[in-house]
Amino acid sequence: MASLTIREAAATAAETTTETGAAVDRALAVLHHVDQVFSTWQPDSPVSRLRRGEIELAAAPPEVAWVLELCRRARAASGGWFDPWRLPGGVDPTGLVKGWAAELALAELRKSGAAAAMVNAGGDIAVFGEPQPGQQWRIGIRHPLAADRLLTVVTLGGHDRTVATSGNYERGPHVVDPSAGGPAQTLLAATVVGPDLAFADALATGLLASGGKALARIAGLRGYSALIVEHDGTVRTTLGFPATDARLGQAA
Amino acid sequence: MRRSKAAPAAAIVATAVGLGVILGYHPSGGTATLPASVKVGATAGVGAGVSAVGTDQTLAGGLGDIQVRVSAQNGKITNVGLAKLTVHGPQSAQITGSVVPQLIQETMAANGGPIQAVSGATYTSQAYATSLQAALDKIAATGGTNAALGTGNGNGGVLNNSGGGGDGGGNDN
Repeated sequence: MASLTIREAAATAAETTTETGAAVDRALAVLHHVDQVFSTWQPDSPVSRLRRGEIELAAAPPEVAWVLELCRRARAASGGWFDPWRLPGGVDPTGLVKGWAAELALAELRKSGAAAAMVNAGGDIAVFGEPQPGQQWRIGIRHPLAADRLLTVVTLGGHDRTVATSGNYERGPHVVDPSAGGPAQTLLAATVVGPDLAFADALATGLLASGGKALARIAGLRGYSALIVEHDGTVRTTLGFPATDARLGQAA
Repeated sequence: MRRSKAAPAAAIVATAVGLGVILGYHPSGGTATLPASVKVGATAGVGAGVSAVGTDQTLAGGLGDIQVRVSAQNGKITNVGLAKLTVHGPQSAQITGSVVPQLIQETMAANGGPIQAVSGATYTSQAYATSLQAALDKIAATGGTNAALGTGNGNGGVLNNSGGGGDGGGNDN
């Protein structure tokens, strides 16, 4: 599920909008390609074959090695809470790939000369520019217990360019706590805002897996902020989390 | 699949409501009508004030056919969303079911500025259909003619909103 939003540079003739259409095609092609390579659901994808040990990393498309390198960096940044190598069934970079793919798609839209654009890949969102001149992007954070409710709204702009949310509410507990080997259940949801969606995606995954223990670590990462919803409904954020709710993201 | 957490929901929602839950949006502006479907891969013929629908298959996890909608509004706004999501399997009926008007009414009834998207752990198509993101895409896909919007003037691009302006802090990265 991907949704693309584009604001073109100015009132223009058909050539510009045709270019936009071509950029949309490229963005969708990127998403499709990433899905083909990294899907753990498709048994014949390179990552699925890698997980089963049927191929070596060198035999996989080169972007697989690059994504695994990003995973290593995200693992270090998360203090080990995001760890694709400590999951059942072999290495699984899914927690980072969706955000990474969205960034690639956004880059295609940006190359088209658009004034602003947004890519929403299954709830993980990256933007550039302003939705309207002088405005910031406003992104609702889904309430973990009600699909038709928002917990809060974050504003994206400047270095707060991406937001990723990981939750235990859609598929049941699915994020594995690497230190325990079982599903992480103490958080309902974790949201991370920051300058890179691949990292934000991974950090949100790791934050959820940590049960909230990684919140302080993310607070120490330059450019990143986070929100967690604990199992009893308590909401905690790092300082500077860009929520529009005045009670969130402020010093206690 | 989804697991119901209905039992603890009441108490937790009560806590969360205190944090300021529902923030609505206020659609306005214009959206063009949809022409016949074209294949995205062949470059949709998108002109100013014109829209196009293309089909991409098995995007993002092999969920089914996805129609991607492109609309240009007087050459200024191009909004691309999922106009239709056809999932292979028994959930299809729920995808096309109409939970959207209710969601719009609820969000319209609440205070707050416009939003452009919803961040959430929406992995499943069923979740998507019942999500606010689906509602946002629905507005764009229908040009806001849904009676639940209450505008009655054929307006509705979610990016063309009144009120809730930011402070201009955004930039290109």
